[in-house]
Amino acid sequence: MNQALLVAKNLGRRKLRTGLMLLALLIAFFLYGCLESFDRAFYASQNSAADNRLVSVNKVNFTLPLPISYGAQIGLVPGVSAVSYQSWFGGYYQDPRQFLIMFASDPAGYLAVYPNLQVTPAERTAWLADRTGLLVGRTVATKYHWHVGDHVPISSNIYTRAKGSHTWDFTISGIYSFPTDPAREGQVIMRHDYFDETVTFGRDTINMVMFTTKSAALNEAVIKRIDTQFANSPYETTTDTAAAFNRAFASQLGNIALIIRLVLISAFAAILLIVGNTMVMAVRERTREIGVLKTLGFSGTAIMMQILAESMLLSVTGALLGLAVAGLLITGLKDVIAGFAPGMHLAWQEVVGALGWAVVLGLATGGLPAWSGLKLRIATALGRI
Amino acid sequence: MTDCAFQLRHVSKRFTKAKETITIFEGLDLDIPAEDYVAIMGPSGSGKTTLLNVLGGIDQVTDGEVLFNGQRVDTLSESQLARWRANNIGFIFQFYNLMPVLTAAQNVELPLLLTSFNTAERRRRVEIALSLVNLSERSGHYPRELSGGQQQRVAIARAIVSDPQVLLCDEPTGDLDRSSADEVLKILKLLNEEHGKTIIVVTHDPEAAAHAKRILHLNKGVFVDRTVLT
Repeated sequence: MNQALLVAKNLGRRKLRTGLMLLALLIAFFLYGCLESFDRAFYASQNSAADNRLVSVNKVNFTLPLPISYGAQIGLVPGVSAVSYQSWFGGYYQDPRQFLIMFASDPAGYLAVYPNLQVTPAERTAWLADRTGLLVGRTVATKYHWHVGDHVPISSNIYTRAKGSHTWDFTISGIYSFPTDPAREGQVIMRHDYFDETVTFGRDTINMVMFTTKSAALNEAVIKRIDTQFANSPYETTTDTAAAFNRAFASQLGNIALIIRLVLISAFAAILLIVGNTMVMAVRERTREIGVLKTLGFSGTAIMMQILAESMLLSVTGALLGLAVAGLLITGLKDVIAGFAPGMHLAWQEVVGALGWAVVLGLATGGLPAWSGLKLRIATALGRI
Repeated sequence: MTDCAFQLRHVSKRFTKAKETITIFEGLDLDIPAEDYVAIMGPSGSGKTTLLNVLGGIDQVTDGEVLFNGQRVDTLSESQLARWRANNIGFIFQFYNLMPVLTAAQNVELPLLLTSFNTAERRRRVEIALSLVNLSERSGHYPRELSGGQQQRVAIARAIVSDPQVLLCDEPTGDLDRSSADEVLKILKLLNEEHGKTIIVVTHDPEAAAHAKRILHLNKGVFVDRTVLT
């Protein structure tokens, strides 16, 4: 026997109680694993844009159109190195619930503005040559089992074709990966010329101009120049870095980070009270035994460490179980999650963070009973005065 | 006088309860030689358990000196007292006070966790202690699987496993039937006579006291009678 066995034996003396405490901890750390992973994946995609990539949108609201000619005009602004533009297609595959993050864009410009997009030269050429061609992100292709050369019908919940149809036929020209911004692997890009000649409204308009500058140092001047250029026109622009635009877009969903923090704080506060209270009761039940241990020669510090070890073991075990369940769930629902938080997975940052919190929780829940154990007088514990 | 295991010099013990000072004993003197077997008797509230607590370093004296083998122990800190108890004192309680989650052998092994003995040595000592109380075959049993007498014998094994000089016994037969009590008393006598343990027993039971070499009668904090039996 050793002290570790003693700790384990004490935890196992009331299995139901220990099981329920573990369940409470498991739930808290399951939430931690899922929400922190989501938070990291969600904000990683917001912050991954290159420093010199900017976007111009309609000043009133980014959902309102800009003339397609703005793309060419922005391309002429000194300091701008590459320009593209895009329109939101509102696409879905077979069923409106299978929505796609799909844009119509000019192929040459798109590939120039996003040089980190990885596609084979053959696929690149195929897309540039085929008006009905589609560039599909790897996550989407995996989800729907699409391959290069497949013909796929995609519908729009916004646009209509001339004969009243909502469905466009496409040929998959290429399947791309985007290592520097995995979120983009959850997108589908059609050609804007195909879009423009087939839709019944909204022709010659776009939602956004994306462009790069020759250097991030030029951003401020370029932004000022563009917004001044289109000031007092029917389509005034607001220009910002892509990263800032992404953050502003994300914030429209609410302050996700704050919501996640509030949920986690609430969960941990509840667990702290539940487990802390249970630990206090569990140790109080053992008052006499603690008195006996002290009588045998165990010091107050040894008793304190033993109680802290119990609460830490409980907390860390709960954390590992919670993370395991979170990891399994995230892996199992990878395809579903890919639509709004691509690349979400349980990373080492979450594991380290959770274990850190488990130690804090263990200290917090075991602190009071451990202190009581340290200070407990033997005569009092044995009820002998 | 270092042949004395314990010496109490003008020991007083008082405590305050609800603003009232209660005196348990005042100016008590006592010598307990090594290898003595002393029974302390007296009515409830006479101070005998408090005296045992003081001897075991569980309770502090208000005044006076407590010496063990000629060294003062009443001035030791909590952690020093814990070490001193682990090295020198074995305790036997009325209600056994075994850990319910540990087997008999694991209960006996508890005090050895404070020593530097390796696993094999600890196991050897546990086996010896359990065989001394005739419970070798019950080493894997949990306290709930043992009778009261057997539990008390496990408690004795736990008290002697680290080979302390002194055994302090608080009503060791108080919760046992006559035959179990006799068995426990026989073991205590054996430990005193053959293993040289100094034994101090607090008891109400005249038959238990009769096994001792001396009986001290305590009443209202004063020794009113000292009987030498052997």
